[in-house]
Amino acid sequence: MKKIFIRETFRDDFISRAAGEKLRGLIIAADQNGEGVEIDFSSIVVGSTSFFDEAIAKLSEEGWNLQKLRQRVVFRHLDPRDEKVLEQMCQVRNLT
Amino acid sequence: MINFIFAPIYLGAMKEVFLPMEVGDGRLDGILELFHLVRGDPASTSDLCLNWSRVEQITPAGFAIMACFFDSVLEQKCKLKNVFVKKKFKSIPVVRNLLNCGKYKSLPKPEIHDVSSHDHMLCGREFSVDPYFMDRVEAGCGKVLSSKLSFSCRLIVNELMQNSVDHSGAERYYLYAGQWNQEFHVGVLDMGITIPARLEQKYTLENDVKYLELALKEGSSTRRGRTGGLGLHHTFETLKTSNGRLTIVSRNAQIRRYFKRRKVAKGKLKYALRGTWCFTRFPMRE
Repeated sequence: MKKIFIRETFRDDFISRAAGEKLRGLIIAADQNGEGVEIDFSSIVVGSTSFFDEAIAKLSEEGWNLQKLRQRVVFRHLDPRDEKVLEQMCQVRNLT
Repeated sequence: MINFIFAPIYLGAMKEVFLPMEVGDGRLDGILELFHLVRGDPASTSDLCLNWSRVEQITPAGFAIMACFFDSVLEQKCKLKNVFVKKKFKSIPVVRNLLNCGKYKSLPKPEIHDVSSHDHMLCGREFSVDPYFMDRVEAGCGKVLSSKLSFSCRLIVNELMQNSVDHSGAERYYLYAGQWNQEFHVGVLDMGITIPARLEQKYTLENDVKYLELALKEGSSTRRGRTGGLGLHHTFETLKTSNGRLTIVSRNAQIRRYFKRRKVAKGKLKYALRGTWCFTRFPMRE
């Protein structure tokens, strides 16, 4: 499983749409290689609807659903407040 | 409280302008008139004498407004004289820089105005987002911020910050945060391309108020070749249980959105702002 530490890989920007798009690209690339992804949010509070929308919720535009997301992506140390934002954005994009 | 700027007094080629009792995001007419004198009409730009005798308070937003004013004075090569500045203000970096603005030949880094104290914070940044701003605010003002309030501030400031970096074309912007009376204030100010100017590249609406209303709607975007963003609209959804409000001032209009009540107040400005200022206020006790 591919591990992504947000604090390291996205040190300078873990809030913008551009950063979210980059993370989504990493998830899709890993999936195409038959790998799952573990995303570690240690020591980070994101607090950005745009980042979660672009990184995760927009996977729906690639044909992903919630079942596939749960199978392929593991979220570690995600702040509970960020988790709510992520859930909200997934609902908006019909990633259910 | 009287809070306005007297009409400019002309002292030869120099205009004397009185700053209001409270410099901040309250009544903006006087502040915008001041910017108009510096940036409005290049042909009429002249030297200014800023009279501080009435100033009693500067709100957290007021420091960011002053930083924008400092930039405007230098960009427009306006000669600025400051009189009757109270001693208590002279140690504040942005005020000190304004007092010394004649010494700068070019625009210095925006960080020169940075301040971090127990009750307010000002950060000037260039080109990129600052994802750690709210971490520093929490470190400085953490005792007064609940977990919910802190996260609400983080959501709104992160969204506004990236809008400023992505859309305004401004090379610099200012972030502020701080406690003021029984409220917590955060915001982002830039002097870049305004929201109406950006949106009119893609939409045609009758006035700037309409453009600001559009900017707050779901799916409106200035981005080309990609699906519209959900950012600010869904930030409002996330904040729908909060009692705060966001005021956006851009070009000839301002719009105020109350998160919980979902009420929107809007209006035209007497003096245009050549930039975008976003002021958020949250009550300290929900």
